[in-house]
Amino acid sequence: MKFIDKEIRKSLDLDYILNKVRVNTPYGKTNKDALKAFLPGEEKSLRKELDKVEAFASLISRERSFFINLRNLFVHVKDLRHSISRCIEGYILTEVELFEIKNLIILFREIKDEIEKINFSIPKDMKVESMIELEELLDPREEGLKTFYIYDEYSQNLKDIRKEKKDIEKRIAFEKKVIRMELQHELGIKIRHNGEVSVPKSDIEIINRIEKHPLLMYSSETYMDLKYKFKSTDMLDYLERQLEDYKQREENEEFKIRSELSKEIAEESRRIFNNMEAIGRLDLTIAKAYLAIDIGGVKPNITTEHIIIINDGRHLRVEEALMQKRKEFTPITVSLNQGVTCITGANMGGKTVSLKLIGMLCAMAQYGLFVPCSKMEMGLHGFIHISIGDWQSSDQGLSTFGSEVEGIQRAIDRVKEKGLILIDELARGTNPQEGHAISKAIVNYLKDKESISVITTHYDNVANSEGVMHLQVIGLANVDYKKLKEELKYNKNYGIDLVTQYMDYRLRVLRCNSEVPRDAINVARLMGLHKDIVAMAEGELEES
Amino acid sequence: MLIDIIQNNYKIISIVGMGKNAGKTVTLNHLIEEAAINGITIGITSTGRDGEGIDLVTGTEKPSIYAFEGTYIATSEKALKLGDAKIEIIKVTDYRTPMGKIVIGKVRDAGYVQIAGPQTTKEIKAISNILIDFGAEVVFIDGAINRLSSAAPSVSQGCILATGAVVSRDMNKVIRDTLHAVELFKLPEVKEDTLRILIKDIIQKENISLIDENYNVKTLDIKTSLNSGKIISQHITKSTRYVIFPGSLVKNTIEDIVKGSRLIKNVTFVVRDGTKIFVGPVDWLRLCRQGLKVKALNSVSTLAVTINPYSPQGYYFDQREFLNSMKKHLKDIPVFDVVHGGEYKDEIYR
Repeated sequence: MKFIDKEIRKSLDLDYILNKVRVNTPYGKTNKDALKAFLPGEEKSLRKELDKVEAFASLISRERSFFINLRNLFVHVKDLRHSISRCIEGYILTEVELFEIKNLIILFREIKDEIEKINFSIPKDMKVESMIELEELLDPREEGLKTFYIYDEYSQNLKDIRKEKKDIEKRIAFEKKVIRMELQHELGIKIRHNGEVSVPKSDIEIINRIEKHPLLMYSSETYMDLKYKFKSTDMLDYLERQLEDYKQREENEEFKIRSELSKEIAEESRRIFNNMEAIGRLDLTIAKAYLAIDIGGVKPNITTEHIIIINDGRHLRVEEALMQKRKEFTPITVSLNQGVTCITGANMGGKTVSLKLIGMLCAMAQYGLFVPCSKMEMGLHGFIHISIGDWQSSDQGLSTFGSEVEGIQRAIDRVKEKGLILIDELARGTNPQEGHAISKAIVNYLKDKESISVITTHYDNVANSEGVMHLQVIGLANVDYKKLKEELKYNKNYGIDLVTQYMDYRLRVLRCNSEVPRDAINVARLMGLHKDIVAMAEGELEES
Repeated sequence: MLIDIIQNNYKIISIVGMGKNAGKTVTLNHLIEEAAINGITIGITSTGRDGEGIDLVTGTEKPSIYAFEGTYIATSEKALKLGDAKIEIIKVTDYRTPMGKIVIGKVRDAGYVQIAGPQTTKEIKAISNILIDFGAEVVFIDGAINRLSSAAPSVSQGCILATGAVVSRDMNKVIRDTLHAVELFKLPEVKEDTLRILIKDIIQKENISLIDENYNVKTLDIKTSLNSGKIISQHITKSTRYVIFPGSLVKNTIEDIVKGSRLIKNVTFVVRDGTKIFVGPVDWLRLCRQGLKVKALNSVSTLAVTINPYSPQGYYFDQREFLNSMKKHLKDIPVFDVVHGGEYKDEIYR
C-alpha cells in the first residue's frame, strides 16, 4: 500500500519541498525521483540515512570549497546508462559515445581524487572508484586529453592502412600537380586546383589546342564557355582505386576497433554502473544536506514508539510567503500520541496551517530529510492521510463532503497500520447538527485506534470527548485589548491586518473543558459590532 | 584572394545566399581552400537546418563541404556520421538539435563533412566562441537555410553574400536586389547605450513596443502580425521616438503606419538587423523619401559579394559582363566570381 497518494502529496506541499532538493547529476535525479518513504520496521535504515545527511551537513559547513569543486565536476556528469546497457547487448558504440564514456571515466577519477583530498570517511555506498584500465584503453597515447579519436595506436593494421592512405593521397596530389604544371606550361592557360578550366568559346585558338590535347577532356558548356577537365591517367586511375580501397579498409578496421572497445567496456559495465549509482546517492545526500542547512532544519529523532513531538515547527511554504511580506511565522509546538487530538480555535487562527505543518514535517522525516523545527521526535507512520476541504471552492455542498468522506474511509480502512490521519473541519459544508454528529462519531471511532489522528473542529464538545486530547489556538487570549483598541482607532482601515498581527498562532493543551474561546466575540467587539449584540452573545455563552 | 579580406580583420564570418543555388556552398569551399593554402586554422558551423534535417538523416543530401586537416567543426551527432573526414571529438555540448547534440570536433584526416549547427542566435554565438577558444582563427558560419533572414549575419562580424543568376532572369534585377540587400544589411546602428539595453530587452520579449522621449516603453499586445500597422499608428504620439520590431518588418506594416500617422517624421523604426526587413528596393527608396527612418540593433557589414552566373533553371549571364556590372554598382565591396575560380580579374583563364 501507498504511504502517500498524489492528492495528499499536493496538500502537504511535498513537491514544493522536493524542488528544493537540488541534485546536479542525472543519477542523482533518478534517485530523487525514486525517493521512497521509510516505513514502520525500517527505523534503523532511516536513522542511518539521516546520520549520513547529518554528516554531510556538518561537512558542508567545514569544507565549502570541496563542495563547490565537487559540484563543478557533477555538472559534467552525463547520463550514459543507455549507451552502456546497449553495449552489454552487443551494440557497437559510436565515436561520440566512446568520447562521452571516456569523459565520464575521467570524471570518476576526478571525483574520487577530490573526495580523497578531504578528511572524511565517505559512506561505502557512495564510494566512487577510478577505472584506470578503461581510462588507459580510451587514451592509448597517454595524452591525458579529454578528446577521443580512433587512434593509430589501437592496431598496427590501422596505423599501416592510414600511412598507406596518406602516401597515396600525396602521390595523387603530386601526380595532379605535375600534370597541371605541364598543361599550364604547354598551353599557357590557368587550370584550377580542382583540375578544371573554363575557356570562352570565342578563343578558338586555345580551344583547338585543348581539344587536341590528350590530357584534357570536354566537361560541360554554356553559351559562352567551354569547360574542360583533366582526363585521368592510368596512373591516377590506379591510385584513386587504391585510395578507395584503403578508405574502405580503414572503415573496416575502425569498426573492428570500436567493437573491441565496446566489448571491453561491456565487461566493465558492472563497475561503471556501480560508480553511477554511487554518484547518484552521493549527489542526492549532498542535496538533502544543503536543504537541511537552507531551511535551518534538525535531524528528527526516530523512535520505535508511535508518537509525534514537534518543537517550534515551521511550515516552509507559508513561512516563505510571509517572509515576502516581511512577516514572521509563529512556530508551533505539539506533542501527539496514538488516538485523537482535536485542535480548536477561532477562524484565522491557523488551525489548517498547523495541521498541514504536522503532515509536512512527518512526511519530510520519513523521506529522510531534516525538518524545519528545533526538535522533532517521531515514530514511523504506515501512511499519511490529510483531508482539507477547499475553502475557496464555491461548491462546498455534499459533493465536496462526499469526496472528503471517501478519503477518510480509505484512511479508516488502514487504521491499524499506524497511520497519521489529519482531518480539517470535517463536514463543514453540511448543516451543523449533522456535521457535529458525524465529527463526534469519527472522533470516538478513532480515539482508541493504532493511528495518530489530528482533527480540527469548531465544535468544542467534540474536542472535549473523553480520551481525546484537546489543543487550542491561543489566538487573542493573551492580548491587551485596551492597547489593541487604541491602535485600531488610528488604523481603522487596517483592522483585520492588525488583528492578525496580534493573533497568537501557538497551540496550548486544554486539560479540562473549562474555557470556551471568546476570540470571535472579542474580534466582533473590536471591529465595532454593536455592544448590545456583543453582550447578548456573551449571555448566550454563559447559559450553554 | 577572398580570404585576404578576412584574415586578421574578422573572427566570425557568416556566408549567406540570396537564394538556393546562389553559390553559397561554392563560396564556402572556396574560402576553406584559400584558408588552407594560407595556413589559417578555421572553424566551421552553420545555422540550424530545420526541414532540411530530414534529407540529412535519410542521407539523400551528400555532404558538400570539404574540410582540411586541423579544421574545427561544430555539427550535430547525426550529421557527423554522414561525412567521410576523420574527426577527433573534443567536446559534446549540451546544445540540442533535432539531429542530436552539437559536437565539436577537429579534422584529423581531410574529407567531406556535413555541418548542421545550432538553431538560435544565442547558441550560434556560443558555439562560434567555443570554436575560437579551441584555436580557430576564423569561424565560418554557413547560413544553412538559403535565405537571408537566418540568424547568421547578426551573430557574425561580417558577412559574405552569395548572389547569382538564380535571383532573376534579368541581370539588372539581380544587381538591384543584391545592392538592396547590402544596403539593408548596413542600416545605421542604434548607438546610445540606454536605448540599446531597452531594445535588446524588447526584442527578447518579442512584443512590438514604442519608446518615447523619456525612455518610457509602451508594449503593444500584438505579435508581429500582418495587420499591426494600423494599431501601431494609433499609439504613436508626439512624444514617441522609436518603434521597435522584434520580428520582421514588412511593407504593409510600414505603409499602414505612414498612412495612419502624421507623426512618423519624428519616429525611428528599429529592427534586429537588416535581414528582418521585407520591402522591395523600389518601395524602400520611396518610403525613405517620404521620411521613413529605420535603424538596426546590429549593423551587418558585407565584406564581399560572390556571384554565380548560372541558374539551375538553365539560363545564365555573360560571366564577364555580370562581374563587371556588379563591381561597378557595388563600388567599395569586392566581387568575386567563385564559380570561375574566384579570380578578381577579368581574364580568368589566362
